[in-house]
Amino acid sequence: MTFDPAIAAFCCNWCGYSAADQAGSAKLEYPSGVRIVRLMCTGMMDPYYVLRAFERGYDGVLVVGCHLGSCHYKSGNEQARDQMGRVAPMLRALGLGEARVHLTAASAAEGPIFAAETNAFVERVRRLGPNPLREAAR
Amino acid sequence: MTLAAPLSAPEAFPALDPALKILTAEGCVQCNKCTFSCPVHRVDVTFSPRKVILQAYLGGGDAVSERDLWACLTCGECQAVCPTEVPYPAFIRAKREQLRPTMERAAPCKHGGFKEVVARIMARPGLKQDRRAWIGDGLKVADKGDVVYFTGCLPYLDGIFSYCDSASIGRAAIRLMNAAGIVPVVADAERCCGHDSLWNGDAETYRKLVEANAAWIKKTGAKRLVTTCAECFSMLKHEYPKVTGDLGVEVLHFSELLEELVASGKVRLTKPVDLQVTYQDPCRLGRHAKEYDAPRAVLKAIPGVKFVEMDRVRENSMCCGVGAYSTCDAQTKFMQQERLEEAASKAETLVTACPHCRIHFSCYIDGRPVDPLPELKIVDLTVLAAQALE
Repeated sequence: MTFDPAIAAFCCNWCGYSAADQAGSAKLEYPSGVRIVRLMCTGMMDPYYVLRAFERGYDGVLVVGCHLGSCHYKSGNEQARDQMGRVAPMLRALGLGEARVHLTAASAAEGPIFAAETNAFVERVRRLGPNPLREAAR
Repeated sequence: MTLAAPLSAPEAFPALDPALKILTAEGCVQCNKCTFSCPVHRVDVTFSPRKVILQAYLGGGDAVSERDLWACLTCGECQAVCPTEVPYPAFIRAKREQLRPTMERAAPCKHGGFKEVVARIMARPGLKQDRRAWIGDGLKVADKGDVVYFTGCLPYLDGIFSYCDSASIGRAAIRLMNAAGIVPVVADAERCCGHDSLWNGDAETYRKLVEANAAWIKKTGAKRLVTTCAECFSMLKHEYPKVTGDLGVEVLHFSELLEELVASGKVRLTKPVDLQVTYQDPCRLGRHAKEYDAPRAVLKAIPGVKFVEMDRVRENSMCCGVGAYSTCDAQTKFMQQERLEEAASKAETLVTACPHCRIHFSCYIDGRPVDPLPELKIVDLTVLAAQALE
């Protein structure tokens, strides 16, 4: 049986989520294991969300915001980048590795980019295998 | 409300709050000394441990408000001055454990809950960590040996508290031990000590962490366990035996080991460190674990260091303002301002023996002090001692 990763995708309302919407209207495909959580801005991405997603058993966390310089709230995506930098050493220490988290950008018109990024990330997580924390709970 | 609290034994009140059984053994006499020693009361006059106890007696279990429950720093100052030694922090701990499941917001952690989620993840029995990346080259650690170095959350702190380089404390400790010919055991199997889980009322996670830690410590076959963290020290030395019985190791704070190594001449602190310093007694090391002298002995052993005491020290030491990451608000900032002003009036460097005191004070200095503060550096005792190595 092939492993179908569960991905928590945090998308900002203005770019990432609209891109996902556009990908949907254009009938572009991405794996069904990607669960989208809409945030007003990726600036509210907290290390807690990432850790909580892994605790709940997700295999990867994807964050899709606006391109640098075009954040609806000026600098939220830069804050997201800083926060992802903060959570990375903890993920490494917990044995999850940094590759299970990916921060990317797609503007509201970039549905194809959203689909491509999502497909590439799911493929990467599939190669990494299931979230080791699920096994660790037993 | 009258001042006369009923002081009968709990059996006389079958519906009495079970958390109060901790108190009734000694019996609060409502003298209010606790209130006037309490660091929270200094900045918020409506907070009073005496009042909380009275309310708990008169009103039963629900009378302690959520705000009173989480405003307490559990620093133990009240217990230190109490004529009947009412263990108020232990009462608050029992109360938190009792009320935690009914709370609307699950995580009282002031960093968005990251410490709690990390602790819960570490409580999973099959977890395989990779937590030794910070050690770096040139330092010797082993998988088996006589001395275990319990790093605590050092590997996890630097991501969030990037202004604090907490891992430097661990590197300094290993460097000092290596200088004395000790190759400490640093294990990937180590878990969080469970301090925050215990004090924030998450008893289930705490029990799992204690069991996991006790298992790997026993497996190393070590005789001694040393930690640079005051919280880990008070947990491992005084709380773990209550859950697991004897751990089979002698638990030491790093200052105790260092004092011994310096006295026996195994570590020679010879390089002068020209600083005027003062010392912050961490509540977990001082009032909770009753270790006041070892850190001072280490400070006095470092050549060039001029050690000046602050006014409120030892049992009367002021808290750094945050307990178990569950309290941090505007009032905390006033406490930190007051304590740091006191420190700055004595020396240019404030030394502490707890990585968390260091984080909370540095956070305050790094952020926006309430009033302008004189130049003051916050340094960990271990890091300072390692500077005196040739």
